[in-house]
Amino acid sequence: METSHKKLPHLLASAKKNGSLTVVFALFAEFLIIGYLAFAALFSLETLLPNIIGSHIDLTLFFAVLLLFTFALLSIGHFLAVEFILTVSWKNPWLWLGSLWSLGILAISLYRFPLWSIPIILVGFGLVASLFARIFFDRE
Amino acid sequence: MFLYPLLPIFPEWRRRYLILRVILYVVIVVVSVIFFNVILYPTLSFSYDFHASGSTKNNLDNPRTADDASLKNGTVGSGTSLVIDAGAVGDFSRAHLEMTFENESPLPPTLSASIRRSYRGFFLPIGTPLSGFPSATLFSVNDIYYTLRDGTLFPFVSANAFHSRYPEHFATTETTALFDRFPVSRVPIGFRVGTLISDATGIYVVASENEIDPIGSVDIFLALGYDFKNVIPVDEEEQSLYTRGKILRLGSMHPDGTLFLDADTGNTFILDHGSRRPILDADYLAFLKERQTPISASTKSAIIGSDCLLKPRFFGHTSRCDLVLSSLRPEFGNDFRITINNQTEPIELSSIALAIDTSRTSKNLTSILSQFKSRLLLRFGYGDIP
Repeated sequence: METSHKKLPHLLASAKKNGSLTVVFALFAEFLIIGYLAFAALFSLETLLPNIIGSHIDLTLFFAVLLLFTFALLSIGHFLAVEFILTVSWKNPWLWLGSLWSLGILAISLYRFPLWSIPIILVGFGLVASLFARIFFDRE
Repeated sequence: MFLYPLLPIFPEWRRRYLILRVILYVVIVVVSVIFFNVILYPTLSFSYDFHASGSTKNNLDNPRTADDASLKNGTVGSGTSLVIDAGAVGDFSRAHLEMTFENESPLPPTLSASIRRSYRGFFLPIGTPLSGFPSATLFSVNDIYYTLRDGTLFPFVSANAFHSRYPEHFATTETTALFDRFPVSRVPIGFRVGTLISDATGIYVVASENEIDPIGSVDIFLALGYDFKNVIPVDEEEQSLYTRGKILRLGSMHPDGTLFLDADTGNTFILDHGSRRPILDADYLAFLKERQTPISASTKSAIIGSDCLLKPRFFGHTSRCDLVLSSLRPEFGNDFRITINNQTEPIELSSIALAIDTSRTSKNLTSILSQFKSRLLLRFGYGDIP
């Protein structure tokens, strides 16, 4: 037991030294980015045509697996001393894409709600999102 | 961003990294193609649980013997056939049939199974021919139509209801003096059984003199072979005669009064109390055809079947076989009749499952994309029943 407990860090250190862990990290990260893009596409389809995707795969489970893989990737990144510095820049096309997609999903989800409730729901979601962003990304 | 790696890669690993990256993208593309194939060409699943015969999850219908005796308990005697129905629209390539037996039931070494495709109503036996209009003594008094039964005048709820059963000239025009000769009943008569009627909420089939069955959706209406031109809008008074019966879904039996045209022989049949009766009278046939487009079916197509031998699986108390469906023509019906012949000792079934694979054809692709488009339009409030 003690041997296997020491074996894993030893293996990881060896993989980091010979460069294979970096390859694993790069491929894993790319796989996750595609995974999140796929989730966004499937979620959009499900919003437009309810149950078209849900009848075949569980999107909640899919997202949970993506989150688990993200934590695994962050752990490997921490071991590799890779720093992720999140900067919000409006010059970044990803931010524009993400914002437009979010607005689209919100619009489709909310268009049948009473007009007066839509700003309340949007402000509520915005507040919750900004609070979570502070929890996860605040350096303090 | 996708051209360059996210981290600097050691020089000795760069070639291997590129190869692994290509493999990753190939795997992603293959998985995506498989996934979209599943969405565009779905496998339709049907099942029946003999422990829960009343469950709404059962979408295989009415397990019975060839003589129509119920087999909802799952006990199939020696020399008995189990017949069960399913409804599905599309062009299909294969079906996978699996039967699960009770633990104490013997597991037969082989069981023969067959599948045919038509409409459930067209599978009914041919009954005695219909010679003509139902006999009746008919009157018209001040534009209200009556029929005389047992010395009493029964009014038709509306002119449309009368004209669904008889032509105009069948009614003798009388004056109100008629009411001095015969009492008038308060119970009006509605539409001919089998007539399609509609209100603001949907389309119904007149299933009996006092019941109408709602049709589940536009797709089901079309899958049942009906024509929108035959639908008669009704008002509250006309509809008040009826109570709502069970919803007609895919695989439902057409109600009495439904017309079928055999494309092979040109004969027209009408469903009536468990049989389909040929209509011999040319005038009555022309009258009915004006009001209801006969549903096109085919005797030859209904006879064509696909067979297989159910064999026990290595694990579990189940038997399974595959049926080829490509020879079953989709244009003459969307109902599948599965027959399992037990020539061995009595068996006790726990459940039956049927999975039908959609053929990968351009017609099926167009059909499913059309369904997506309709659903998308309906989602945003566009697209109504024409």
